[in-house]
Amino acid sequence: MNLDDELRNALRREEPPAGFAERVLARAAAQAREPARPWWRLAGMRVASVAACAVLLVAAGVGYRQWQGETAKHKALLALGIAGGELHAAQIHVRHMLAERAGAGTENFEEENR
Amino acid sequence: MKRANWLGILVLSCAGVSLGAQTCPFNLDHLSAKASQAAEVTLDSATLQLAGRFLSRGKAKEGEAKSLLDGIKAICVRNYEFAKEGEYTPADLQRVRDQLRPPLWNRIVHTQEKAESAEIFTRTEGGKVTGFAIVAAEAKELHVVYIDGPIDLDKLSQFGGKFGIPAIPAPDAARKPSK
Repeated sequence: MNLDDELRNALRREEPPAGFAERVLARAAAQAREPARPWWRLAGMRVASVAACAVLLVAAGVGYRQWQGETAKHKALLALGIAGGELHAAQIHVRHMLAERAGAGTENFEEENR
Repeated sequence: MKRANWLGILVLSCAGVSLGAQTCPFNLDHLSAKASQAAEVTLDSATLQLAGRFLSRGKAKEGEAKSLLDGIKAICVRNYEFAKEGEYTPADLQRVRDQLRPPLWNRIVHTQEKAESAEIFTRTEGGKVTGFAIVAAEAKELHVVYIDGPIDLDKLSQFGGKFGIPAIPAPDAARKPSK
């Protein structure tokens, strides 16, 4: 068998099985009879998806704000801690210097009265 | 249209830079350029307000911080570490001091011991203390703290050493006075 014969054989016209057209028409008629989805059901699904998106967005926003707040809190505590530490160190330094001066003063007084 | 967008971005960036500059009024670029390590904490008014909302009065330490932050508009902390001694010069330090001059600023404390010094400045406006700055210099470190707004210095000092930050001892605090 050559190529032409094979093609002719493959593309030959075939009659549909008996009752094919009736079955197609019957199924089409059955689908047409099915009731359409009620409008409120479609609208409800849309509202539900929009609400879910909104809830997700709000939750993400709240989470981000919470993270920002916690970060700001820690930064503020750190900054105050460093500032307080530096001030504290300076105060200790001053007290120490004053104590040294007072000690030196007492020693001078003792030496003068010896 | 694109040009307008770029112009808008540029204007906003400039506004951001100027806001940053307002938060920290000191120019310490000459020090940060020389430092081997730099740590910078900047808190503007909005961030401090947000932080205040997250600080709980119920927790003692956070309550103290919350009361300290009342009325504070900005906090800037700059810590610079230098690779070796002499990396920053007295002139560099003087450039910092020059930004804290009277009549606005007054130096209320100055301690100096060898290469270590600590200076406390307050800003007075209308007879009220409206700002506070510390410049603490060591041989290889420099710390600058600026607080914009009225603050209780005693409370702030007590706050030092809390939240895992140890109180920084004075250079010779451990030395016992000789008899």
